[in-house]
Amino acid sequence: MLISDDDILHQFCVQAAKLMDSGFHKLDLPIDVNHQSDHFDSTTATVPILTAPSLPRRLQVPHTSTTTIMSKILTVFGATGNQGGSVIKTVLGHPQLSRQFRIRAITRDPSKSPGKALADQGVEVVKVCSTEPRIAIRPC
Amino acid sequence: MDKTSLAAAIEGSDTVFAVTNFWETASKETEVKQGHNIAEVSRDLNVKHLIWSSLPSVTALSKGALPHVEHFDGKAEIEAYIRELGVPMTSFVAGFYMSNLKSMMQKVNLHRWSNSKG
Repeated sequence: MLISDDDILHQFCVQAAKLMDSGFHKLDLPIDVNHQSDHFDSTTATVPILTAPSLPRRLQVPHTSTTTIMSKILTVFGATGNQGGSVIKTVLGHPQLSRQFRIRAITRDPSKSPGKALADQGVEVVKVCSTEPRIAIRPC
Repeated sequence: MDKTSLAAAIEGSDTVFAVTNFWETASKETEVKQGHNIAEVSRDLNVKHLIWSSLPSVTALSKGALPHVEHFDGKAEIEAYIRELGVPMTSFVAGFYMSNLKSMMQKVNLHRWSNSKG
């Protein structure tokens, strides 16, 4: 069975959400999404690796309550590419994550069709670029 | 870099997912600069969770025998810098893209490579 890149990103997003919900402290290090899922096929060749957050415990994010629903902004770079696009698609289509996060998609040109398509789905689209190509996040 | 537009993008974010595209410029220096900028602005604006689309350092893994896999090494350098800055990070390391099977892994005509009259 082949697992698509979308599937892998989906698994990753679900794991990332669990990580945030747990306030990091419940997870062993390092974790592997392959062993955290009920329906991920471990016989396939491609296994994403999720390493642990690097901060000392005192600086890690505390457990959050349900009052934070919809109050968190998830900013996605590469929003019109495969990885960023998959993250957005997954979060928007996930019953829990879509309530938890408001997505801000970063693109170089919001007026182009991929940026417009995101805006049509209710995603905030923000332009980031620079006129200095060598040091730009992306040149204009 | 245009830190103003980057700061405007990250301002107020709880979580940031970041990936850079080495192949857009084919310059490790540029990619690393982009990653450093994201890391610094994330630190300055107190991002709670930076999800970094990373890759391991091939130079380190090969103990210097393969020092030119720059599209891997740059991402590893950025990951190290994020750790150094202390931004709460999850490093996401993708495996070989399944979509590569449709492009990089196609059967080729060997004559094309071995015999110019192919």
